[in-house]
Amino acid sequence: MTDFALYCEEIFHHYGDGGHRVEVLTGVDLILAAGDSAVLVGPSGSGKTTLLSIAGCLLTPSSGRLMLAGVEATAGNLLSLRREKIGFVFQHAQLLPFLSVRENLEVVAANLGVSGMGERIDDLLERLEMREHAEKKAAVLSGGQRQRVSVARALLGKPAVILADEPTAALGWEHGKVVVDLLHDASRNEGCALLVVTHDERLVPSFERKFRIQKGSIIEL
Amino acid sequence: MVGGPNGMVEGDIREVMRDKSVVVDEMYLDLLGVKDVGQRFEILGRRAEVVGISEGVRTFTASPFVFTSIEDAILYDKRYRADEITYVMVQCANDAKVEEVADRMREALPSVEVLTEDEFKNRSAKYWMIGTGVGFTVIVTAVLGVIIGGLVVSQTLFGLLQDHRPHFATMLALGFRDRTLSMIVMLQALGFWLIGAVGGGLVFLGLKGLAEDSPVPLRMNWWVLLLLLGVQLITCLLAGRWVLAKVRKLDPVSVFAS
Repeated sequence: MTDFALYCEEIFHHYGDGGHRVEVLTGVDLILAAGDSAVLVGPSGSGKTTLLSIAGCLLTPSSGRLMLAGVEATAGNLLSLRREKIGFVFQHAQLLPFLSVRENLEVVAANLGVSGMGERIDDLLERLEMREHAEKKAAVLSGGQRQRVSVARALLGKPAVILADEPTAALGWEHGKVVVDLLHDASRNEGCALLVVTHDERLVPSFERKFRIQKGSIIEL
Repeated sequence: MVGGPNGMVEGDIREVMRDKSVVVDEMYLDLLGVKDVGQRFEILGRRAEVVGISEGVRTFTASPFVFTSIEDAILYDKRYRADEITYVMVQCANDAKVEEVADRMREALPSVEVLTEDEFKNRSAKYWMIGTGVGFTVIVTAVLGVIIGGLVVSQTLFGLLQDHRPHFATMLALGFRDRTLSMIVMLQALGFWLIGAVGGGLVFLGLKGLAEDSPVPLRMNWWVLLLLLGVQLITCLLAGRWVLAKVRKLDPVSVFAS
């Protein structure tokens, strides 16, 4: 299991206690290898975001085991795992609007504590066709352009896994499809696992692995 | 001659030794109805001639000061007898030590209170700051200023946090180190300090210019300036720490909902 990019074993999670206790995840197993591209679908309230939060080390499960690229997630290393092993793409890019595209990436690079990221930033901007917009403020970019930058931000630290939460929800179909294609390319080129949560069933066929979450359990389609 | 104004605009202070002659300050010419040197007017019913105009002699609590000889002063102020005085200013010879002279005078005149220049200054400052309501008012105003300044900075920083809550949540989700978040918030707090210091400095300079010819001119010295900047800095840093604590409490999972 140390070879897996993402390893979730017997993940249980509940909110509240006593009479208000709600079981959200009831023994979820999810394993992704490097290079896997997976999609997770399910109705609202089925636990998609909770599972993504746990896989992204943002939320500690009630019980279960989580490993990222062979590193066991514990209460003490969630922050460093998020920084070093995971790339996030959110529904809204959440770039810092007063910084340029390049500066948004440089801030993340500085936080990674890795020197010589300039070439990596240039390379990612080139691949994501954002090189010509590098000096523009994030606030003036279109929704699709912002998501491209957020993909670059997710890839910057060469993560083991990219977790994308509804990355196309704020975009039209065409732009959304482009972003998903970029994520596929990035997963292949960078050799990282990709897990996308989406409501958009039209995107599902493009993924190699498909999961559905329902009533706290996950099944591979 | 002992004592006198700091400077003269017109005339010579030594002229007051002439009979019934006075020097008035330029700030109070209108109040006293004086236009020029040589003009004659009355002080408590007695004739006085203006022989000079001084500058920089201000009072915000009493009637204007007028300089004259001690003999004329006793004549003008009918509250005192010719052999009665309240204050006597003494100037030591150049080679005399002030403290020694003061001690000798205290021994020779046990019923008279003898104060050196510094002691008199401290006595006056203590009187105004402690013995009257002025000091209390100044201190309360300053404390209120610090409290209000702190509230303004913290609320402005908090407003920025509210505006950028999703961005801070994103930074937390992306695993930003605590020192990076601290730097972002504290740099903003320092920015407010700088804006406050420069803005406050400009306002002070403007008011200082306006008050220059008033009875209460504004003054600043280096240690007061450093103290104010230090208090402002501490206030801004404390406000920054408060907002930073709020940032640390943000739930990074909220990034999925924003």
